[in-house]
Amino acid sequence: MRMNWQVSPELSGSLSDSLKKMFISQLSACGMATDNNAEFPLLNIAIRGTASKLLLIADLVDSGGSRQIRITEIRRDTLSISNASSQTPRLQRKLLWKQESPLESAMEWYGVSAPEHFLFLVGQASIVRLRSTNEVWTQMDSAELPKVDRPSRLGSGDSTFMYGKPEPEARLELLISRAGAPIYRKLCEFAPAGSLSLTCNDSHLGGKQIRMFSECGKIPWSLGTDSGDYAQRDRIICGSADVDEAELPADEATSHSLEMPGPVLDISVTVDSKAAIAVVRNLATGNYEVYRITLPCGN
Amino acid sequence: MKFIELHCLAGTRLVVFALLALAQFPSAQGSRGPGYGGTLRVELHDAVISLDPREWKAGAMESATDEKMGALVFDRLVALDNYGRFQPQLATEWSHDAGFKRWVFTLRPGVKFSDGTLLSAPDVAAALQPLLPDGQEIIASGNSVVIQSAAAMPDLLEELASGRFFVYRVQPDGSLMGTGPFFFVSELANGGRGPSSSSTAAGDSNLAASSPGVNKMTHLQFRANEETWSGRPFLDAIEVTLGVPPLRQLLDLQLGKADLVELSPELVRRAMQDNQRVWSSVPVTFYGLRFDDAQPAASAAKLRKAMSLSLDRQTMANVLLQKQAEPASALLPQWLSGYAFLFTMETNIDRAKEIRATLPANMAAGAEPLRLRVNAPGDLAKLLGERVAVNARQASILVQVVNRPVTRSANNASTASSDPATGMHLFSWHYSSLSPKVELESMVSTLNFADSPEAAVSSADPEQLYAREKELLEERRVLPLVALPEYIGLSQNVRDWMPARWGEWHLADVWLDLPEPSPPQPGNSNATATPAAQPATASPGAKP
Repeated sequence: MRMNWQVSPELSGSLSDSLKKMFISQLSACGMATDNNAEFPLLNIAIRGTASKLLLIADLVDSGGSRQIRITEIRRDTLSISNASSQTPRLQRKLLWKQESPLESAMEWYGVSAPEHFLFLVGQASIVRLRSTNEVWTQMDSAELPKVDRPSRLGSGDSTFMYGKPEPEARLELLISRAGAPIYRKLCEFAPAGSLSLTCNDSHLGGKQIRMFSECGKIPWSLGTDSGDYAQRDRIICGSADVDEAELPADEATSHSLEMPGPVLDISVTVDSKAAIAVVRNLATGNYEVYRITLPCGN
Repeated sequence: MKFIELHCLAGTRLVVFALLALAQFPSAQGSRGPGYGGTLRVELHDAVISLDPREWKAGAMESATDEKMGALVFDRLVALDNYGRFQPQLATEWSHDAGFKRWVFTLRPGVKFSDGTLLSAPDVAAALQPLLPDGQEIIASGNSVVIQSAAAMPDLLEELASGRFFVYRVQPDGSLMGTGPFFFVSELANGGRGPSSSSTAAGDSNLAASSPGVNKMTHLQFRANEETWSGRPFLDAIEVTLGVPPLRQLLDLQLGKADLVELSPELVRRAMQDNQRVWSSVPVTFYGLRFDDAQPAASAAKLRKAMSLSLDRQTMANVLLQKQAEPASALLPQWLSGYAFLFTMETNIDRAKEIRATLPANMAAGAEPLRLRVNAPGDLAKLLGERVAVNARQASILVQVVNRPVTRSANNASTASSDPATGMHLFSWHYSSLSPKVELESMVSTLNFADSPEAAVSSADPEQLYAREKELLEERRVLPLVALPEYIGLSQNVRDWMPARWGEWHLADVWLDLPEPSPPQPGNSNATATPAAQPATASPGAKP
């Protein structure tokens, strides 16, 4: 039979192609195979979500035009590992990039209208754009950051991605701060997919303020690093919104925290708010590494 | 210490919105965290509300408003979040037997009503029993309640997490009291902004709301419940103005006189062009036609088919309602049933004419036009009725529209079945249950459009539900027209607006980004507090 596989857009992220492969393999186990031959019956498989359930709808149209529909359902909450896990997000990390030269901040960007996937790396003097091709990053181009009039002894400074606008505007904003007298602050805007050209203006923005929405319910969570200086390894810790240093979990193995290979220099939230991008100096190698931090919800 | 705050709140769209809001104010000192204080000013079109869940009628438009106001005062046993997960509310745990015929809910300990008294299992049983369908029984057992039935109840959590299933306590004077984040304080004087002097004593939190006097009020005030188990809401108070016409609501939002207003579909585009914040739910209101059985059966089936083929739902949704509605091809919306996309509604004027030609010449024609009674409230329903008549005329079916004022006491069901001289009714239906089975059978029984009531599905199996709805649609006793979302206009200072996509507002999570209060000037004894600094006045739960 021919098969047409449809997953509603809001579910496509959580239901990957692996589910489709699993379905096809189970069809094969039942003695059925898929083929694109137009003379074969068409099996439409749709996965749709309701407020509390996921439905798998099989709509088989045979060559005579008659239609058979079968529906099965699964509760969304049973897809979670447990109720507790949905209450407490688990932190996961994935290494995206590493380099020897210093990094101050990084940001990942997915194009929606165009299938672009970029990683922006901010060093002391420049911003570099990388493109992902088959999960391999290659440098596209770079642009100089605005010059700092007066160098600071504090070294690497404080460049950070502030926030972005989703498509169709599709802009990222980078706050460049340099300690000195006076403190130098510029807010630079640029188009992720366009020419890598920064448009900067003086900024009076204060410290970094980021808001992020977890997919694990509406309970607010705080994500931070534990105490220590830049010579110590950090953990990234997730706790309730009112967590403070004294309340951070003591057990490093707990799912609330994630051991990092060095100090976390910067952490920013992606435009779609589904991940945080952390820049870490690996104390073992001296490399600067970029990690994607996510809070999977179990389903 | 390099602590970086990432307040991870639910709802990806909301953060995008928050980020966009930040981007609009680049000079602001970043985003501020939630703050306590302030009064949220809400304007509603309904002139009357009831805070007694026992009075709410399934599908009735006004019940949607009642539920929203009820959610301020009452809690349910469980809630469903936007990710399909049931969250504990008054019940902290639940379990069921293998056949889904017996459910046990463990109650949260220490929950207090707004007068400070403790919630007990008998309270829950007494509150929910009148709300449960026939055949379902609730029994208090220690710190739990047991709901049991001879029939399986696989969708019980969906039922209890929606609609009227709030927990309340009836007070000796007949008023209701809840455990929710707010308590009803008073009806304010018409046009006034201060609480009346007689309604802040303990125990009378819902007195006015459930008494006949509530019908006359134009302003209601709800105040934060300091004792609520879910944590004090950020807002100090919510002031609700009833009976505000749609255009006035939009103007009040534009002028900063209101923080949250209902937007009628025809005003949504205007609000957006004016850069107002507009939020929309999934489609929650259904408009359809229901046929009476006044015609001979054989002819009636053909007439229904011709009528169905004549209806141009796309034009209704996209032109008449300016793309603020969706053409409906099913009784239940996609977000509720999951299978609505399998249904399609064909528009074919030529075929409709052919079928019309086979009917008796005097049927739905000059001397005896088919009468269409508009039972749904509002101008929108009248417009839809007129459009139906226009479409029908194109198929040579003459339809006479009869507009009938709808009172709160006359719901869709009673008006629909009480006038046999009418051929069709245009009705509205507000989806209130998160159980598709409950919603479908409620619609069928209330509107009485099933050929055989005994065909009601006994399980929540989606394949059976699909078959049932398919059968109902093929009978064509009811013809879907359009489905409308709810549109809300919000002022810029409303923060953490995180409603359920099916329309629950969650106002306990909302806070107001209020201007920083000016420091009092030395020697100025008249320095006034901002709304954020309103003194806590008498709370029903407050200890003397």
